[in-house]
Amino acid sequence: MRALWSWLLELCELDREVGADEGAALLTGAGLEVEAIERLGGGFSGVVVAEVVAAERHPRADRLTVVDVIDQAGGPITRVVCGAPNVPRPGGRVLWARPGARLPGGLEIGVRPLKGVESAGMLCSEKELGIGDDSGGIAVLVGAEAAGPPGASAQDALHLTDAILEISAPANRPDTLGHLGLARELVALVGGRLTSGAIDLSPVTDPGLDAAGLAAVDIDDPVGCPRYVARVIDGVKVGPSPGWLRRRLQAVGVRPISNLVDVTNYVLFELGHPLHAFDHRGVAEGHIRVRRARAGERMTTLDGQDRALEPGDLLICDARRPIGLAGVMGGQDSEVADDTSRVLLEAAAFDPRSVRRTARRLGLHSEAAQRFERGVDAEGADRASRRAARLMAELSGGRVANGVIDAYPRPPSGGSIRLRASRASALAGFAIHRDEAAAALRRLGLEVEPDGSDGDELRVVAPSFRPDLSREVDLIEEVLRLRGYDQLPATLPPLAAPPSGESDGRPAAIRRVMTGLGWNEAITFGFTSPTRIRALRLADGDPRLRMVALRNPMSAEQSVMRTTLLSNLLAALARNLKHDIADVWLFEIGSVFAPGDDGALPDERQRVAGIVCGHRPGWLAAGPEVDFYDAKGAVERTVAELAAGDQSGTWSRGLRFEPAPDIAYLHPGVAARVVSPEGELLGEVGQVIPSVASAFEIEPPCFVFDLDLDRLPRPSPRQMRAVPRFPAVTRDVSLFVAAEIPAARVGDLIAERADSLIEQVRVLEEYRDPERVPAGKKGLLWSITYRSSERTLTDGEVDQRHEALVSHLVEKLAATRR
Amino acid sequence: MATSDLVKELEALGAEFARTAGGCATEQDIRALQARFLGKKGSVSLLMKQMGAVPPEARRELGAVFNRIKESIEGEVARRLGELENASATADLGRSIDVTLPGRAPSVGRLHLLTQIRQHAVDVFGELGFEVAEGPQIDTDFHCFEALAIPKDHPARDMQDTFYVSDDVVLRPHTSPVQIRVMQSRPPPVRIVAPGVVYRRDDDATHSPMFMQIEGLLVDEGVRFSDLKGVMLHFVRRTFGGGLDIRFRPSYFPFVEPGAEVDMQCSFCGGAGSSCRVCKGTGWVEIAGSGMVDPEVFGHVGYDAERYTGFAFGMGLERVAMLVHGVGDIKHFYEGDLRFLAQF
Repeated sequence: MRALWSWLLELCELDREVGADEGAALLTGAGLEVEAIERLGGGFSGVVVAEVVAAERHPRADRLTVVDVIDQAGGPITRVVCGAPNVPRPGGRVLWARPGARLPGGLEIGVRPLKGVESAGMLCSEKELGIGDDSGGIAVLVGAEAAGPPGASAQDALHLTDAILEISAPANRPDTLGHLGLARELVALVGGRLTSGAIDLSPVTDPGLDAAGLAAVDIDDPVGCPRYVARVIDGVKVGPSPGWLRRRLQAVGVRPISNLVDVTNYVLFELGHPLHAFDHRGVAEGHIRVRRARAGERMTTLDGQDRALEPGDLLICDARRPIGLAGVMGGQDSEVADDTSRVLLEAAAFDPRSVRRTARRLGLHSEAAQRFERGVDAEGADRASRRAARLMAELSGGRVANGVIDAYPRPPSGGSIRLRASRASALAGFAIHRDEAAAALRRLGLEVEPDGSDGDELRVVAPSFRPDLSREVDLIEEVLRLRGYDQLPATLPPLAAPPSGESDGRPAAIRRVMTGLGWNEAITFGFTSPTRIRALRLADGDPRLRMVALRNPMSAEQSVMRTTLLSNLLAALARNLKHDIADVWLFEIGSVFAPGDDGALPDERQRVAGIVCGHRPGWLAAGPEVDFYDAKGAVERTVAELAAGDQSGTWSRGLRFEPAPDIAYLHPGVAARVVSPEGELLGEVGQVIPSVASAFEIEPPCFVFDLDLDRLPRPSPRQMRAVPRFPAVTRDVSLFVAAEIPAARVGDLIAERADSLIEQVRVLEEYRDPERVPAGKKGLLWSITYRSSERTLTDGEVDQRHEALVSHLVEKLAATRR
Repeated sequence: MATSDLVKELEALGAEFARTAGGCATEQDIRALQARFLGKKGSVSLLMKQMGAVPPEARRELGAVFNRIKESIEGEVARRLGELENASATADLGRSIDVTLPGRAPSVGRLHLLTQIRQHAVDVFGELGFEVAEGPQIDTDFHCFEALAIPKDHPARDMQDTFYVSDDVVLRPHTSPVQIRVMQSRPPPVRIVAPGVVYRRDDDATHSPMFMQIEGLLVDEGVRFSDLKGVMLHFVRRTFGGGLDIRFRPSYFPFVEPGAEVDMQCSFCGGAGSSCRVCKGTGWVEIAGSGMVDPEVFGHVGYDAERYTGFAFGMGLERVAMLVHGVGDIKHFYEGDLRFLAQF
């Protein structure tokens, strides 16, 4: 809320002088964060009050006036040319920017001729000075503002040395949404007292007019409306508010409308209590009924909108129909108008939840609704009503009808709260004495009595305007707050037993391996667009098409939770390509989501995926283009690293990569399912099919992998294998086999032999060029390493074993030796 | 042939080798020359086949000569080979390359900056005995709000504009539901940090609809507000170094009481800059929300609020990364743009 510093000072007497800056710092330190300080009248200089001594039409321009002004009684006359239509008669007071003055925006004022007449400076409008919206003419001072001598600075004359504090009030402190509550905080922080006393209506009361005869109030729903105070002000004359009131409203951000409406807003900002003024004519039989809406009811609010009501909306009705949405907005038919002469003034308290629901549904976040949503003090309703009634009477010439209708079915009986100084000290971490606590709470306006026999306890009654104080811990916070959080020492909790250390080491291990292989980690949003997922052209029934949709996404781009990491990674690749980054190696570890079974939370699984495009690193020039095997290699290496400590032997048999021509988003000939040695599906790897890539605006070939992290091996400490003591012997096998036989088949045949002397089996070459290979065949060159852990193998022994192996392969594969 | 003739002949062959060897320029030439004299059919070897015809008493002398000649030839071969090797080594030393061409550096993949910051935070809190806990990103209204003393229609729900999946299921707007899940699962003491992504309907240079938080929770007998300050100070000092100070400001979060906003001295201007764009001249920047666990929260998880006290804090990891590394716009973190990712 915006608070005017002079307004705050008017409501309290502080024990010492405090400026706006210090006040702001104090409030911020006490938890009422001042987000900005705006200075009124800070935008200009050299502007003074001047008296008009003569004014005549410019000899050469009808629209211009030549004005003679003085800035001290009997002083020299200066001539200014003015284009405004409202130059006052001699004796009138205006705001004169003298030569050398500086206006908001930095404009410097000088002496310059206007149609042949020299103008020394200019006469200013409120708008030109940034102090109001009125640009229809120059500012002409009236009333008290015009009473001072000419020559005073505009800031002094208009009390513009003021400051506006933009305060972010905590959600549990509705009392700080008015100047009074903030003044109370200042008193507590600085010392002093509030100036406001009782408000006496007798000087403005019409004893012959009885409120009870003019209005009645029925509350059907005391939960929704704990209190409704109605007063009637008669004989009002609607007109503009005086300048001081208009300027205050403008300063806090409210547009002045008319004296009656302005008073309700003024009191709202002063006391934090929203009010509503009905034209008494618009309230059938003067009878107010507060009730919930019925199904199908409608009403037109004062913004002219016809609104459908819902059961649960709290309504202010007259004898016949709804005339206001309680706490949110008044109705059009009962709005005060230019010819209103009798006002029914509402000061009520409404259930915060009810106001909040209605305000949110209708998108009506009025100043009133904002306060009711946080809780308006029912106890303060009568005071607010009196304050407004008196102001209305004074400003509109009306009289307040005798008496009040105060429907207050169940006034609360405030209980007391126990506060133990010992508990406060233990919670805070430093000593807090009972007397100190008592003094702090009293400064805040709480009733405090010592209690108990051991000098430790206080019995505290919190005032009704502090609904946030109901428990001991709430009071402890108040004591700490007033003492100042900066007094809090920094201590460390005692050392505790070490954490259990149970954690999933896979993400960290994967990150280490992938970055070691040159891949960069990306983190993309957990949500995505359904279009992006559908762009993968997944087959009907693919679980990735079952998405968790957001009810209130910020955009279609972020409207469903991702079911795969690939869609966002493809988009990231496209972004890099667009910015001429051609070699992209990205991986991500993140969650994907699927709708939960009936009533259960969505299913959330961790996956790891990667995308690669462009070239491998080369020296000077780029290396060769990436291909399927770059993506596959990352998968193999990652899983191998995770499994390196596996003692079960499960993973040592290696992954299987099964050709997968049926994965819709992958090239049918360059795609594989990744399967664990146990036969469990781990994920997919392959080239993104060009039609899908182009949907993401990706042209060059790109390759992806996508694995279910939860199914990957958990890293465990590696157990050392003995360093070999005897040399290895290597033999090659070069075969021609049928082109369709996968290399893995050869590997499997070798593995089947379970030859304990075979240490390593590697494919060195696969070639299909027709000059070297018979038709329908391909060449495979394998290298087999033999080693014994017990002795040096002899050539003869190895030759024999190797020959047996090669013969076996030739026979099983119908291969020919090369 | 007489023994003396044989000796002469051998001596002559030795001399001839010495003469010829000087003309050999390559290892191959030398090896060929060696073979010509000492090979199976080499001239020296052939001569020695006549040894059988020499009288036994002369054999000894002849053998000695033969050995001398053979050794001198072999010595000369070794010397010449050595010379050649030296010459080629010397010749190679005359070669030079352009040392200013770039080195061959394999590319290095980078961990995401937020991964680094998260790990740092986990490590720092780990030093104080906090262990990592995690929870689902999509959670119930109960865990995200109700159990944290934020009932439906509570004005504090405005503080987190939340993404809804259904009436009762939301994208968690903070990591605080992890607190609840942990406390529901075990009795005190609890000492955890919960890093993870969270979601709020907010999107500008400092707010992203998805961002990363780390939540801390310590519940035990005798946990003090001042302990919270010490733990926060430890994190700030270990992260930003130097003697940066922190301050607590009263603030309201429904699930803590007393609540505090944690500010630290601006790491950019050291707390002194009147025109600092990071702290806007205030010298302080907000880094965490925190406070003592509200008794109502303990009520929801069945902890005895009279016996146990605790503190909780929550911190945006992007904020920390932005302060430590000078990142200006939060969007960079989630775009997968290598021009950003590869910098860290």
